[in-house]
Parts: sequence; structure tokens; C-alpha cells
Amino acid sequence: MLQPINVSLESLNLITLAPMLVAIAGGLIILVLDLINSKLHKTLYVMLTLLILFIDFGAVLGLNVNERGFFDVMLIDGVSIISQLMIIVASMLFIPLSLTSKRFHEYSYPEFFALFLFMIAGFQFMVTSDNLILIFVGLETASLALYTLIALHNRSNSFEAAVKYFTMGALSAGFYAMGSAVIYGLTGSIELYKVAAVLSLRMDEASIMIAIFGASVLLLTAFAFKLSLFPFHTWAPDVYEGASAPLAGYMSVVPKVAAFVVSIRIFGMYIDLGIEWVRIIILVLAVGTMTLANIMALVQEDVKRMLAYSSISHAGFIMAALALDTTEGTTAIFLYYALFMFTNLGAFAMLWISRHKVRRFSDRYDNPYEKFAGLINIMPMGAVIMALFMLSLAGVPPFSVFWGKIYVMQAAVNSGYVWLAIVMGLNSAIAAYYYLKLIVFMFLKEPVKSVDTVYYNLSKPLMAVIGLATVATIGAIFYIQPLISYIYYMISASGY
Amino acid sequence: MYETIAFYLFSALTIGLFLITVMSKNVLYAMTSLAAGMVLISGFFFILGADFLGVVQLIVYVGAIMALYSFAMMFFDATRDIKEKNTNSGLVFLLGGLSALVLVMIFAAPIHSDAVQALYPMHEGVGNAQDVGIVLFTKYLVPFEVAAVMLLVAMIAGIILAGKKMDQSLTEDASADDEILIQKDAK
Repeated sequence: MLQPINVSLESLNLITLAPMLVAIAGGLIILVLDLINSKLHKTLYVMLTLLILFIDFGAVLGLNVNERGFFDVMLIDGVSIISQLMIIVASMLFIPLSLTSKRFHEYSYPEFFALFLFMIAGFQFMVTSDNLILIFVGLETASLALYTLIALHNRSNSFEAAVKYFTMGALSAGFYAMGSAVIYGLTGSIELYKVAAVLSLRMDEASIMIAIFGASVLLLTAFAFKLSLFPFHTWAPDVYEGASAPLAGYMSVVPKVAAFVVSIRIFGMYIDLGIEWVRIIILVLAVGTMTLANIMALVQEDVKRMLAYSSISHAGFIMAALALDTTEGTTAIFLYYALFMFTNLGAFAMLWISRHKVRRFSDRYDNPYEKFAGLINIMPMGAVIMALFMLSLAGVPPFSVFWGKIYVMQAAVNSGYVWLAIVMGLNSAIAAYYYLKLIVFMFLKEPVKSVDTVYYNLSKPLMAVIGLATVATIGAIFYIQPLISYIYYMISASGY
Repeated sequence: MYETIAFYLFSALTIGLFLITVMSKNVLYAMTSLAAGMVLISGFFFILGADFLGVVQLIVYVGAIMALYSFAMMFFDATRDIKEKNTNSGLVFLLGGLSALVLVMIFAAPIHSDAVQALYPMHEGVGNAQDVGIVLFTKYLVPFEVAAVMLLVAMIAGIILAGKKMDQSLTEDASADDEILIQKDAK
């Protein structure tokens, strides 16, 4: 017979679960509130979600670095704390964007906010573990919620987007499961620190390389889908176009941060083991992604699709930093996303305030360039802010994304990849063209006379979010140094 | 002895049934042989002494997934033959063969060495389900509970997407006002 098991409560270290439990409990509270009284206004849910996110933020800040909990399944290291903080801050910027002056379909469901909180919990589980099973379950929880949030926008192209994303996500989940199975078959463990220990003992075996190759290619394919890297990026522009503008901006930051954390854990392990071709594959993917996405962005006629391709290209930039596998490179990943987050969400929020139910300017697109023609005459402040975001995305100093780009390039040069820094510089130059194209339309063209642009979605909360994003974009020069040293400290404390 | 015979019998039958699944032009035959193949795969688990996984294989694949397929099939005319549009069957054969070969090589590679050790070895004289249960409710309790949250998310998602007013748009319609304005301008 089996012996009864005794586990002391202290050894479980339950505090490591606190942030996710806050989010899950919040989601359940919202569901129950809706059951009790279904007539509540969405403002209540927005404020409740914000409150829960604040508590979640505090719970993450209260965690100690480098702790394990719950039979070593949970792993709280610097990377996980930083990424959770970024996920929560981006969510706090995203949620007030639902307080538009007009009503939208998805926000009339309280379930929208519940699913949103479950999604955040899923992402948090994903980044606070090095157990491949928990990562998988967290990833799927978050993805299932995200597909639904997209479809809730309730237009035909948002259904198309949700189904496309679901199909691609299912495919990548399959790749991920196969890759994990190969890792398990190879090492007998699915916890990355044990996998690394076993692999380092077996590196000189003859047939092991083909199995490592199989595992890493399967996992790389799975994450290339999630990170929308070339050649697995084709879903991204369609999905961004179908999703509501704030959700598209959110999707270009938060799921990618979570996927990057897992990529750092898995592929950083491979590169640390001295498997050089993993680095080469990642570099090829990164350079291909940033270059081809930039070229595709040049020919787009829709601002939202252009921003989608631009965010793919930015993901390529950051992927290159992943291949470096130095402390500086890993710091660059988080610094870049911390800065890109505000600018990108701000740019998508500017599209959101001009959202119409019918397409006024073109049969095919919601946000063609013509819509923004002569914006400086119609809405001078809006045009200036949008131009600021575009200049920041293009990497013009002293705006925020410039500092991210310069830090990535510095990390590349410091680890001896001068050619990579040159490729990045050239790509920034190409990217400047399509960002400036929008500025030219806004400042130098005449407004389209036959249809008037109405910015009717604008409301005080939206203005507050856009104002915050603008301040963060312009004022980057003042907070960049403490931000770098905080991230660098956290990354080096967790040993990456 | 019996195990060897059973292994070869199950292997031949499984491969044969899955071949029917792939080759058959009739959906009904393909589905039935798929279900039968899944049942026989659980036989391998029983031979290996993993009775818990064998039962899971039966319940999940034969019980749940095949039932889902059958429900989906009810929306189509299952008796008619499918006309396949394979424009370039050589290419399909080559690519399919290559990916199968790669997968077999990947999974066969670790078999060459015996350095794999069970993290949670079986206890002597204890049933399979008890051992799985102990690991599941100690070490893997968190993933188990997160899977429950995942199912909750899937359920909520299914209910609101299929049921709650998704056939009408609750988005405020300003186009009606706009059209009136445009007509006024035209006058």
C-alpha cells in the first residue's frame, strides 16, 4: 500500500500563487455580480476590473525574487516579475478604452471583463513557471479567452479574425505539445532546469542532436506563430484588422511579452548549452521578420494593417535581442516592450476614436490613409499626438521607442554582432517611410471633401489614456535610466 | 509470448485501420475505422501496463472526440463519396512522407540511449490509477486547477458566442443619422 503523504503548508509557498488567484477571483466576482443583477452599467465593471488589476499589481510587487513554490512548479524570478508588471500595466491602459462615448457590442457583456481577467491570469501562469505543462495550460487559457474577446466585437471580419487566430493557435498548440513530448522523451523531465541538467550530461551522444533539433524546431515553430515571426506571420494583419483597435494594440504587446518570456526560458537554455545553430535559426527568423514585414508595410493602404506589419517588424527586432542571450540582450527585450507598449497602444487608441459602424472611406478598409487626410485642420491636437506616436515608432530621438532601438543595437554591438546592428539601422530607415507617409497625409493633404471625418468616440477616459501614453512617449528621456537599471537588476538577479 | 503476439496483432490492425481512414472516400468508413484504430491504440497501453492511460485513451478519444466528430458529421450527407481535389498528388506524397519520416526519426532518436529515468517511478503492488492520482494531486495540482479555469473559460466563451444576442449587433448605429444628414445635404 501507499504511504499517506504529508506536505507542510510552509513548503508550498502559497504566496507565489497570489497574483493569479487575485485575477481569477476577480473574474468570478464579475460573473457572480452579473448573475445577481444583470442591469449593471459597464462603468462598474470597468472600474472593478481596474481595481482588481491594481490589487494584482500590488501582489506582484510583494513577491520576493528567485523563489519557487508548490512543489517547484511555480517559479518567481526577475523575468517573471517584470513581465507580470508589464502585462498588468498594459491591461490597465487597455481597459479604460472601453469607456467610449458610443456603445460597442463587446462591452455590453460583463463576461468580456471576466474573460479578460481570466486571460491575464493565464498569461501570468505562463510567465511564472518553467514547467512545460503549466506553461501550456496557461497559454491555452489565455488564448481561448483572447479568441473570444476578438469575436465579441461582432462584425463579420472579427469572426473571420477569431477563427483564423483560433486555427493558427490550435496548430501552434499542436507544435508546442509535440515539442514538449520530444523533450520529455529525451530527458525524462518537462521542467526546464532539470532538462538543462540532463541535456548537459548527454551532449556528446551521437544521435542526440537530431532529437534536440526536432524538439527545438517544433517549439520554435509554435512560438513563431504566437510571436507572428516570418514566415508564420500571415495571420497577424488579418486578425489585427478584424479585432477592435484597442484589442489589436493590446495583442501586439501582451501575448507577445508572455511568449517572449517562455522563449527566453527555452531557447536561452539551448543557447547556454552551446547549441549554436539555435542562435542561427533565431537570427535568420529575426532578420527575415523585420525586413519582410517592413517591405509589406510599405504597400499597405490601411493604417491599421500598416501598424500590424510594423508591430511584426518590431517583434523581429526584439527576437534578434533574444538570439544574443546576454543579460543586456534580455534587458533590451523588456525595455523595448515597456517603451513600445505606451506608444503602440496610444497609436491604436487614436484609431479607436475614429471607429465607425460603417466604412465611410473605402469598401474594403476601416482606416484607409484618406481618412486621416488633412487631420490637422479637423482635429489639430489629435494630428499632433498621432504624429508623435508615428515619430516614436519610427525611432526618432528623443521619443520612447528610440531608446529601445538604441539599446537593442548597443546590446548587439557589445556581443560582436555589428552586422545585426547595421541591418536594424537600415530597417529603421525603411520603416520611417511608412510612418512619415501617415504624417504627410495628416499635415499636407486636403481633407476628403465628400465625407466628413467624425471623431465621435472621443470621451474623457480615452483622452486620459491617450494623454498618459503621450506623456510616456515624450518623457521617456527622464525615466529611461532608472527603468534600465531596474530591469537590468531584475534580469541579472534571475541569472539570464 | 502472448504480449509479442498481441503487439504485432494490434500494430497490424491499427496501421490497417488508419490506412482505411486516410484512403477511404466515404466519411462513414473513415470515421468508423478511426474509432476502431483508437480503441486498438489503447491496447498498446494495456500491454505496457499503463491501464490508467489505456482507459483515458478510450474515454477521451473514442468517447469524447469521436462523439464530437459524429455530431459534426450529422450536418453532412455521410453516404456520399467525397471527391478529392488532389492537383499534385506526387508533391503531397513527397511532403507527407518527408514529414512522417522526420517525426519518426525525432521520436526514435531518444530510444537509442537508456538514460531516461522515470521521475515518479511506479510503486510495487500499487495500481496505476493511485500512482497517477498521487502525482496529479501533489506536484501537478496547479496545472490541474488551471486546466479547470481553462474549461471554465471555454464554457463561458461557448455560451456567449453561441447564445447571448450575438445574432444582433449591440454596437450603437450612427449610420442611420448619417444617412439622414447625407440626404438633407443632397436636397
